[in-house]
Amino acid sequence: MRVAARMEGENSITVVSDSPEDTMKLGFELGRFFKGGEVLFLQGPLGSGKTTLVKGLAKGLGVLRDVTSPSFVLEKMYTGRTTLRHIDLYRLDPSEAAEFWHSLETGPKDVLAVEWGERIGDLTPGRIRVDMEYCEDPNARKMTISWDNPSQGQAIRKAIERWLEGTSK
Amino acid sequence: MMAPGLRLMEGETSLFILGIDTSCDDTSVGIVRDGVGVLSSVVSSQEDLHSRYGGVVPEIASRNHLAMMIPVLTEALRKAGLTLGEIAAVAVTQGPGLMGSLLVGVTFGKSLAAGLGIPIIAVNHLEAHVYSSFLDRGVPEFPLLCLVVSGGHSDLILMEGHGKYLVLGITRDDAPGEVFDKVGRELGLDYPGGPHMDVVAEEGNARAFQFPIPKVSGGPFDMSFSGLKTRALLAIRSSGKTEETVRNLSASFREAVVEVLEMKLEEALREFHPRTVAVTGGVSRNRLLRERVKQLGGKYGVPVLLPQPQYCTDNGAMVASCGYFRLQRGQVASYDINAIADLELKSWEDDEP
Repeated sequence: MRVAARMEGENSITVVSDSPEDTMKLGFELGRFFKGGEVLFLQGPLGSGKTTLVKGLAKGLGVLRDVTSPSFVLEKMYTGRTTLRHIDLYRLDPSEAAEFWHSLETGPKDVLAVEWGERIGDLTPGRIRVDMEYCEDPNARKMTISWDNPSQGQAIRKAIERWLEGTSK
Repeated sequence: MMAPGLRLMEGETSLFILGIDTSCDDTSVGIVRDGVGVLSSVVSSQEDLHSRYGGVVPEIASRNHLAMMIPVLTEALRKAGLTLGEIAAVAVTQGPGLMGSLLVGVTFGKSLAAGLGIPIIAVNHLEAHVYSSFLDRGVPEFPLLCLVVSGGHSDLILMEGHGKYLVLGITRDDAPGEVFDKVGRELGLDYPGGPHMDVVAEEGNARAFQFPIPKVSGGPFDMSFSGLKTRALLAIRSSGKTEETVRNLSASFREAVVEVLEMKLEEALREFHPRTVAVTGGVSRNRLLRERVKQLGGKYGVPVLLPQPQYCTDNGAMVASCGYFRLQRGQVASYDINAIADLELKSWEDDEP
């Protein structure tokens, strides 16, 4: 199912996850192939699996603590192979979101996972974007990952290959 | 106003502790006498302060906290009728919270204490929420079973005495206040949706929608609310948003969330036999939760402590309260403390072995 639903573009890949566990595993593989410095924008409605993906991402980055939603506190930081900064702009209006975003001081190796990044407008170059959608099956989610940095794209493709191997068995 | 039951003997002097909290949106300062008597509790989002100083809500950027710090402190001293010279110690939230925001409170607090030559006390935001139930009430009998439930937390804590904590369970994903707000917004209720949903739910049928109790991997007292949220969103999609659906979904969803909290509380009551139960944090204002917790207390013959509404949300008074008891046990920090965004709740180290 997942392989059949997969569509590859030059700078994007679309896959379908069958369950929250599956989504977490995809996050895990992405985290394992990330080198540090990636900025991930997760977009999609409430319940589409953004935080679930970040839970897996954190494990893949070697974070031992559990990831919980940062919606209220706006940002949670985790230490693994590198620093994971989980940011959520959900409860901010666009001007507050922009103010918060611009007040962030980030290190070059920090991995940023940003939920509701659309609150601060268009993507600027160098970011990875994950668009998440509901499917007919209430547990499944369609996810399109796009990028414009080719070496990041390569890492994402490898991560997805691994994920497909692991989940199709 | 002095807490009922709080008596001072002739010749005994009171200790005034100043507490600062900047862990999230609000800049807040409270002054508390002898750990439980609130003299003042000022929060930057309070309307009177805002009309006077025109601050921004929320204080998402640390420079807003910085702008509000002095006005909030000045107001807290004025309301308490005290000068800085009468303060015995400064207590400040060290974490957990938003790094930039925490830094303002910690830096300001330790500078103030150093300048006055008085102790600085570092407080964990979660333990401050536990102590919020003592404000204007008094110290309860231990062990105390406390559920801290808010937009950012759902922590079940067993407190065996001052500074002796056992974290029994936490939420593995979203906090109850957060899912109330999110589902409320999807239902078209004003933000924050939690308090609005609580009102709308009163008119709805709590059995109209079925939400199974979520299964949680992890510890026996861990909780999960993200799956309930997604189920509620799917229900909104399939049933639409007629007034009746909004009422019924609000009632059913509130019932499901409260049921999870109630179930965990009851399991902990049976296992740990606490002498007091407390529910604190923003969601402890929820009517259904208050009602159910009181019923639980009645069923097990355990007194229930619910903080006064103004102490449910973040405030400096609860930090001052905890600071007083820390001071009494020699839990004083050094002037070079830093904010810790992911500070964990730990028991105080014994000052004497």
